[in-house]
Amino acid sequence: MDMLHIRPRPGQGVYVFEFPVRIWHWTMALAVFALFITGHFIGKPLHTLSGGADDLFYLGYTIMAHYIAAFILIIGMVCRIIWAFFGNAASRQIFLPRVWDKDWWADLKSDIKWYLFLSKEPRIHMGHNPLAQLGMGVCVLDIVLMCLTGLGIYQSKTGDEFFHLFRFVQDFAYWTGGNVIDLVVWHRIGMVILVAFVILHLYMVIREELMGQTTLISTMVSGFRLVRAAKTAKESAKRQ
Amino acid sequence: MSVHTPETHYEAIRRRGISRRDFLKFCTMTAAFLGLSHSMGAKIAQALETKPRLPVIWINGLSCSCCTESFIRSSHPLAKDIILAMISLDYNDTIMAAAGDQAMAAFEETIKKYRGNYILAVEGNPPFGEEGMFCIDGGRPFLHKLETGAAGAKAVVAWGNCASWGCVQAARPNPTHVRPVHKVIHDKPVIKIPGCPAIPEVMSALVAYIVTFDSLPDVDGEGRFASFYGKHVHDQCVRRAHFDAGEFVESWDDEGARKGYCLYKMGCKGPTTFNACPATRWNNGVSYPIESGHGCLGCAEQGFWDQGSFYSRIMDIPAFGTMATAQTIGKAVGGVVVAGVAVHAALSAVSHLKKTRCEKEAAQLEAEDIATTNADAETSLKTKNAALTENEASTDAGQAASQAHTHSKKEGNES
Ligand code: HEM
Ligand code: HEM
Ligand code: SF4
Ligand code: SF4
Repeated sequence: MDMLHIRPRPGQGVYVFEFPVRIWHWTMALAVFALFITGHFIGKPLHTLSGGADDLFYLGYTIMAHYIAAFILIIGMVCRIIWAFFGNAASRQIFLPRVWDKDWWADLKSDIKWYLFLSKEPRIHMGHNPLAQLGMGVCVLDIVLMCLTGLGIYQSKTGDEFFHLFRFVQDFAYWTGGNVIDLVVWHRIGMVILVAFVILHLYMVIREELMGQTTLISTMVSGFRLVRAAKTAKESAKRQ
Repeated sequence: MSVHTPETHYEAIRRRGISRRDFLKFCTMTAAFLGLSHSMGAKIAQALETKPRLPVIWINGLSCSCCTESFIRSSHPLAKDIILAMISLDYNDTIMAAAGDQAMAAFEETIKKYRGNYILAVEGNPPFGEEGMFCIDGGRPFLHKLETGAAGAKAVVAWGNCASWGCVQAARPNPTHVRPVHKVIHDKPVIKIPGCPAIPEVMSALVAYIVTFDSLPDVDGEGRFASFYGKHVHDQCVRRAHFDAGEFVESWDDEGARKGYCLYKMGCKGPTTFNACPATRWNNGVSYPIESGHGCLGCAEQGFWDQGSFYSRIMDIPAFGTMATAQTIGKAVGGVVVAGVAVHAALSAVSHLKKTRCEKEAAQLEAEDIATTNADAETSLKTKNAALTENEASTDAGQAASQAHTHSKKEGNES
């Protein structure tokens, strides 16, 4: 039986998120926040307050920071995808929701009911719940598209031969009848989607933390999922 | 034109009264534009002196002729003369003296005479709507002329944005159904030199290249003359230092505009436009649009008419029915998500509180229930134990008692 199906007794921990998944999650989250902020100011730069072009490099540094965070994100994403081949069952969930599995759909239905307040019983998942898998799958796909459009814009600016590997992104923009400016537009729309995900993600995580039956944030920190003391009437009564 | 030995470019240039010194300057400059080493200027000069002139046939489809205008209106006599002499147009319906039947005859004659050797420069593009009737040339759709011209050409040059990408007449909804040259001519190499207008020096450099190296120059992934379209305007811009420093023109005629700050916030498309104008400049090197204080329109790019205002960085996205921008989409999505989360959070809080209260009450009730049943069980156990002590000989009953004991112990551990 894989770890996703273990049903531990309350208080017992299950090792769900291995070290590479955790370190990836937090570096990625930091990089993404940095990219939001620097990206926003690249799109709508502030006017410098004082000084001159001979000694100032404010937007230059902003772009540099964007690139540094971008390459951290890209390298992290590549490593994370490779890890999905070697990690435990939970490490594959965001890439491969088990849509061919009947149980998965039943689970998804119960998830939706839970979020629509139709069911009052919190469910227990060792990995991600199906709804979270879908959301995180979209998030990961969006990050990949951000990396691709970003690299497409980047290669159009650099003379470095290596990055001409990503010339195909630019060629694709021309194929659709546009030019590099479309890559910038797609890059911005991708950011909108990612911001929406992050808001939802933070809300869901905090909500589950408070209302659900398992640990979440500490799970992403330590890797161990704990089922909390059960809160249902029967169980809490039984233990009196 | 000499009948026995074909004329060279050098002869054509000298015939126009241009000095050898100016000719050599031109060769060196062209070598620089092409990114060749300094000594290559001499090689170009030698080729232009000794090899036969490369004939150019120039035809106009649906276009505004701004490319021809930019060609013949270079203010400085040197540039105009050298470039015109270089191209030494054998046929150009806009600027040649012949007209009507005479012009048609000249066209037929030229393509016959130079078959397989000439360059066909196409300005404008053929419309396909109404069977091509939107552009009639010599009584027939322009498409016919384009196809006849291309059939005998060594290569086709898509000259300007119309021929390269479609330009304004291809802007949505493209009422005359124009197509750029590369979507019409498939059996000949097509070299794009986009721009609205295209830069004249690029054409003379192209001719010099072909004459010097007897081959066509490299083109990039989009079919453009690679030497001139490898860099964004932004990456060669004279105002770039102001961009990096964060110094912008915020509105026309403000302090920043007078100081020559970056035009990014005024909608400059330099960051996404491949062209060489900061290097070649216009009007024989006087300046180029950004240097003169106006943002780049992106005139060398595909679809630049359809990409929103020339004065805004935010591009329209027609896919969303009404003209939306990434910004409006962002605001809408952000608003919906935040509102959704707020409502859901409020409902969650209500349902959570309700549930915990119910649970507490239920738990209390059940706890009382269980307490009473436990009490019942205890009393029954006690009576049983009492009975057991009375009857010590019964081993069966003793086992039952110890079992009950361990069971209650386990439950105790758990809670
Ligand atoms: C830029 C911001 C963020 C992005 C793009 C993001 C994305 C993701 C993704 C893709 C996963 C799935 C991880 C995997 O299975 O490999 C995940 C899981 C998780 N994230 Fe984030 N995250 C972000 C920020 C945060 C923050 C700030 C927190 C903490 C409050 C957080 C808490 C969690 C938790 C607790 C999980 C595990 C959820 C579960 O157990 O089902 N995330 N996140
Ligand atoms: C979460 C991921 C990312 C977000 C939210 C993000 C956001 C943005 C935004 C808002 C802009 C400004 C667009 C504009 O001009 O209006 C931008 C520009 C840019 N981004 Fe990203 N970005 C992300 C990832 C990346 C990645 C992975 C790369 C890869 C190298 C990248 C490369 C670029 C480049 C080259 C530019 C143009 C900079 C310039 O104008 O010089 N971005 N980004
Ligand atoms: S004026 Fe335009 S091309 Fe020049 S640095 Fe500013 S944004 Fe770039
Ligand atoms: S600055 Fe831009 S719009 Fe102006 S000529 Fe150059 S490429 Fe065309």
